[in-house]
Order: sequence, then structure tokens, then C-alpha cells
Amino acid sequence: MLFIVWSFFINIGIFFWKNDLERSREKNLLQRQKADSYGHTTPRYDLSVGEETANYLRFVPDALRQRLIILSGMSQMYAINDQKDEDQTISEWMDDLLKASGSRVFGLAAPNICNEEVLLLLLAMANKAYTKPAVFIYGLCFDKFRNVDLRSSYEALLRSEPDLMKKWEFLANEYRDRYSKATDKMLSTLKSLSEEKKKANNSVEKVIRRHLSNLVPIIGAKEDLNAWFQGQLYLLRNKLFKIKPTSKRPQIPSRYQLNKEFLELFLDEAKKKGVIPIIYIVPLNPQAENPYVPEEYESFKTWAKTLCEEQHIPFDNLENVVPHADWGEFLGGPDFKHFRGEGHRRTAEELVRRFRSYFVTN
Amino acid sequence: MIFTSYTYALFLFLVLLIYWGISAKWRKRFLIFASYTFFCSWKWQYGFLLLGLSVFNWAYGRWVIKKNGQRKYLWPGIVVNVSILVIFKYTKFIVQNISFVNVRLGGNPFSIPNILLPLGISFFTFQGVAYLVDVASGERPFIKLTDYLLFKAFWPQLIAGPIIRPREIHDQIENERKWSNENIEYGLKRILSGFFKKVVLADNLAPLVDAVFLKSASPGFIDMAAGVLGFGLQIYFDFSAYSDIAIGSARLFGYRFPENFNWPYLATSPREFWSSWHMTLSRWIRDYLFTPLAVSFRGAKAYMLLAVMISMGVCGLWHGAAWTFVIWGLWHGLLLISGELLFPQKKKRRPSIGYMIKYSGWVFTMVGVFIGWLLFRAESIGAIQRIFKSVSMAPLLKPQLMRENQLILVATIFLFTFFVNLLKKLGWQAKMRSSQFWLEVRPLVMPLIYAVAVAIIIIADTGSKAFVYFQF
Repeated sequence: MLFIVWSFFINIGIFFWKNDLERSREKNLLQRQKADSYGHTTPRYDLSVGEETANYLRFVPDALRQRLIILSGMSQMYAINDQKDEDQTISEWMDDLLKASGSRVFGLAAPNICNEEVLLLLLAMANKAYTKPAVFIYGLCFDKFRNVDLRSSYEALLRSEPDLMKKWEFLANEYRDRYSKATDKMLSTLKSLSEEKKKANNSVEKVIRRHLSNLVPIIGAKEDLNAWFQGQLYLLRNKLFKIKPTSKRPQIPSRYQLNKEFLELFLDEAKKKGVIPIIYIVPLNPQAENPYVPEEYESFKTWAKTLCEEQHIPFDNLENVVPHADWGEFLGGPDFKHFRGEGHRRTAEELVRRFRSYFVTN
Repeated sequence: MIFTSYTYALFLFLVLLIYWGISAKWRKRFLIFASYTFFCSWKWQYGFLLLGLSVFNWAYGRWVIKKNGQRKYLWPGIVVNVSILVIFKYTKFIVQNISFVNVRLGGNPFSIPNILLPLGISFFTFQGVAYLVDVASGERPFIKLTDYLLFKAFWPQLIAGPIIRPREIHDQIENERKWSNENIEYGLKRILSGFFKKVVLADNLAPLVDAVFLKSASPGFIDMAAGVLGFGLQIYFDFSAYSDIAIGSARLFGYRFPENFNWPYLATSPREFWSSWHMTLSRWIRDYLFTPLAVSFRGAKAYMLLAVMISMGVCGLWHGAAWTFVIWGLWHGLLLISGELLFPQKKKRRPSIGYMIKYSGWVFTMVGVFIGWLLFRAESIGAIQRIFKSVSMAPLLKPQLMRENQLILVATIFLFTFFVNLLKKLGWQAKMRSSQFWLEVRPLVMPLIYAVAVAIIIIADTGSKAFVYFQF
């Protein structure tokens, strides 16, 4: 009996917590529909930042009617420190700058994005004529080469399109000899997705889960609770091990190698599909300490530059384009990776200036 | 229908409601129906295999009794059970190996058949063999077919054990089960414990372990150590969770199943490990394979060692049709033999020496067991070679694959397990349970602990993942 009482109180608490969360989300940038300089309110980037990308693909400008440019990368693409009302993200600024010349820009960014995920985004977009980009810009961030695996929302995106899954498998088999690590990882992703797909097709389980999530607050809020709980664990870890955003994080060789292969595969596949890939090194706060091991970072930049030169891929290093004043603060210190609204504008202008010939057709 | 799915929770609730709601004379038939529904939810065609084998074993058991349990009449029954296991589980393995030899001799490779493995086949065929042997040895057989069908198909033990012997459940099946609040409470607690172990612990370790054993992975020593440690914990939580849910589910219907785990990571010798890990399989191997072999070898020491190696080799092969499993079994055979030689059990010893032997025995056993998990988890012998090559080429203490968070997670779960085991070893759990303070606060605190545990399970649940032992 007491168990039921305790469970009831836990659920009541979660019900109010979830309501608060929803309210704060409505206030949050990511949920706010903002009008562009033409007064349009159509999203110009994936506002869910990778959580519900499929829902935002319908807002991608029609590639059959105009030159479509996709900008992809990590949280720098959408996070704005000390945000003001007039602030926009890089992709929105670029869209404003290029719209008049018949090119449209759409942002597809997600926090801590890894190269396998960027490859998936390329395939998903190039899979349909009306979303196939003419140019796919990818902002390379060194520490994202520590990340592997598709996030669950991207797995769902892949799983939801059988045709995309087939292409994924075809690509893995096609490049097997050349990129053994990346293609093995792709096949392993596919294998786990096929198993999950079988489970997802289990309609009884799906129906029960759906009904229970409407009826029981804790089941309805479990994903948010899971995210909150993991966030708390990270904070606890930071406290216990005295980890700061600037604590040195050396590369993890096997993951680094895997991401390198995925980037090369991404470039090969983009070219094969007639998409122009553009690579740039993302801006960093010049006066903030960063967590990179200097030799590793230098070697990374050299590798990226050489790779792009060898493959005739447009490349530039935008590391220093945003001055110190345009960055904000994070966890009590200068933010080395996310800037204020002005930083977004500067980055967008630099990208347009340096790669304009690829964005605008004669 | 995975045990840790909402579908199973609903299934269990409905079956429980109907079972205790209907007349006692219909209950067994209803449980058989529910068990076949459970089994057929994977692939209904295999329901016929289970039914056919059950009817065969029941009828054959009765026939063997009529022949006074003579061994010569027993063998055909055993052969039928083992043949079914071999056909479904080992055909591919056998053809692969013959093909390999043929290619080496200059021939062409054979086409490899792809036979789908019926769920739980290793368990219900072994149970069939045990039933025939026990009946032939004088144990009471099931007279009614319905009783035998329930013994064989009762779903909590059908897919991954515990491998129950007739005498453990005979009386329970023949006699009417009575509703008891204690049984319901105990059953629910065991199910909750199983859900926690599986969803919160095992399923969170799985992706880290998988990453280390991925074909393209290049782990360093730290990654390999964390992967092996993680897998040892994952498989323990996974399988003991299954056993908890099986034992708990059965108890809700008034049936008591034997335990399958008894703190195996506290074992101070390999022999002790096997008496506390997958206990119902260990005793099957001991009673139906090792003992007959040892008897036939008439106790000669060298042959006894051979009997150990054969038994453990078969134990390994039972786990999977691959040489890695055979090597894993043989490795444990070696551990058992060397454990007996290095740490002989003598009754009279000075306490200090006794403790020293005990703790070195624990270290020896755990190192051996965890090295064994590497053999168990690797996909092939080539994969083991690849892992060692990668480890030898990487710097010793620099992780090549795992992120710091993943290492922290494995270490945390390891420390948690170690701490709980230590509490058990030092007898603090029992002391705490009998303390006055605990007895006073228990009625208020325990329901809160259960409510929080349910909440954690729901939050941690990322979709019901299959149990590791389902593949055996």
C-alpha cells in the first residue's frame, strides 16, 4: 500500500517537473519560431538540434527550385551566448546573405555531432531530389573526433526510411576495402537497427508504451528524466574528478581513426553524388584556454588541410575569425567554443566571403 | 516477448489474474496454454517442435519404465533429444568445419546451411535428457500428459532455465497451488530485482562492451581490461536478472524454482565458482556427464582429469556452436584442475594460512574467470588474435577506444558490485537486517526504495534488449 502511495507522490512530482520543463522550453531559443528579415517564420535550421530532425526536413527549401546549401556541424552552429532578440544563427545569417542571389541555406546541426552522423545527414538529404543540396558545408571541430555512434534520434531517422537503410548498406559494402573501420561500424549500426526495427514493429509493445506514456507521468517524461539524470551524473563527475571545460582531453586513437575514415567517406560520397563538400575548421576563442593537446590539434589541422587539397575539396581555417569580445562565458570561465550573436554573423560573413563562388551560380 | 518489456508485464498480469480467478482444475491447462502463447510469440512454428518433443519424452519415459529402466532402452531417447539439438544448433558449425578441412585438402567449399535456432532449445533438450535419465534411474515419472507438458513448457524456465529436475517440481505440479500473499510479495520483489539488474546495469554496460569487441575496433590494454570486466559484469547481471524474473514469475503462480546463482564472484576456487554460477547447468554437467564419465573411467586420476576436460568442453560447446566456446570450456576445465592442485581443500589449517589461501584462491579464480570471459565474448579465434595484436601495439595505459566516462561507468558498476559482495561476505547485510533500527524503519523505507527502484528502471529503460543467454 505504502509502495503505491510513494509511487503516486513520485508521479505527482514528475508531473509538475515536466510542466515546468515544457514552460522553460517554450521560452528557450530552440522552441521559438523567429521571423527572418523578410518576415517569414519558417524554420531555417533544425530547431530540435538533432532530436527530431525528420520533422524539420519538410522546411528544407526545395532544391529543385533553388540552389540548396546545407550547413552542418556541432553546437556552435546554433548556440548563442547572451542572446539578444535580433540574434540569428550562422545558417540564418548565411540564408539572409544568399537569398537574393537564388541560393538558400538550411542548418542541420546537433550537439557533439560525429562524422558518421554527418555522413548520414548527407545521404538522407541527397536521397531525394527536392532535398539534395548543391553544397554541403561541414564545420570540423577537433574534439568531436572523440565521438562515435549515431544518436538515437538519427538512428530513428535511418530506421524510418528503408531506402536510406539500403543505401547505407550499399555504401558500406562498396567502400569496404577502402575504409574498413568505418564500413564495419556502418554495418554494425545497421545490424543493431534491424534488431530494433523488429522490436519497433512489435505493435503490441508500441501500443502499450504509447498508452502508458499518456497515462503515467513518469513514463511520459522518461526521456527528459533520463537526460536530466545523465546531466546530473556529468556534473557529479566534474565535481568528483575536478573536470573543467578546459581540462585537457587527448584524442582517443581508435575513435579518431574511425572519424577520419568517416570524413574521407563523406567527401568521396558527396563528390559521387554531385554535391560540393566544403570543409572548414570552426572558430575558437583566441584568448580562452581550450582542452586540446596542442601537438594533436596542429596535426589534426594539417591532416584536414592536406586531405582537402589532395581531393580538391574547398577548405579553409576559420579558427581566428571571431575576436575575443564576441565570445561568452561558460561554467564560470570564457567559453572557447560558443560565441555571442555577433560571432554567428561574423562566421556567416566569412563563409560567404571565402566560398561565395560555390554558393552562387552565374 | 522479452521479460523486461511492457508486453511481458501485461501478459504476466493478465495470466496471473485469470489463473487465480478460474477454478483450480483448469489452472494447469491454462498455464500450458499461456506458456505456449509465450513461446509462440517468437515463432509459432517452433511450438510444434516443443510439443512434439514433450509428447515424445513423456511417452518414452513411460516406455522406459516398462522396460525396467534398462540402459540400452534409454539411449534411443537420449539420441532423439541430442539429435534435435545438433540439427538445429550445430549443423552449420559441423558443415563449416568439414568444409574448412575439405578446402585445405584441395576440395571446394560446401554451401553453409542457415538454420534458425529455436529459442531455448539448449535448455529444453537438456531437460528432456535429464528427465529420461532420472526416470530410468528410478525417479517418479509424470503420469499425466498435462503435468509433463506443464513441466516442460512452463514459460519462466522455458527459454533460459533454471534447468529444473522432475523431483524439484513434481509435487508442486501434482498438487493444487494455493494463493499466498508471501509468494506474491516474494515474486514481485524478485521480478523487480531482475528488472533493475537487466535494465539499469546490464543494458547500460552492453554498448561499451560491444564497442571493444567490434571487428573494426583497435583496443588498448585499458580498453580490453574494461571491456572484459564490463562483460563479466554484464553477463552476470543479465543472466542473474533473467533467473530472478523467472523465479519471481513462477512464484506468483505458487511454484518454487531452484536458484541459479549464489554470489559467484565471491568464489574462492574455480570449483566454488561453478557451484554458484548457472548452478542448474553445472549440476546437469556434473550429474549427467562428468559422473558417468568418471564412473566409467573407474576413478583413475589421469582419466578423472580427462573427464573434467571433456565435461567442460561440452559445457562450452553447449553455450554456442563456435570454437571460442569450446576453448572457453576447456579453459575452465584447466582452471578447475589447477585450482584443485594449487588450493587443495584441507580441513585443518592455521587460520592465517587458511585466509591467505582463500584470498589467493579468490584472486586466482577471478583472474581466470575474467580471462575466460574474453574467450566467451570474442566472435572468433581470429578476433581474439586481433584484440591481442592491437593491445600489443598500443601504449599500455592510454585508452585507445573508450572515453573517460565509459571507463568511469564500468569502474562504478564494478565498485558497486564489489561493495555489495563485500557486504554479503562480511555478513553485514544479515546484521543490518536484524538491527533494531532497521526493523523499525523498514516498513516505511522499503516501499520507498521499491518505488524509487521502479522509477529508476522506467527512466533507464531505452527499449527492451534481448537477454544474452537467449542465444544459447
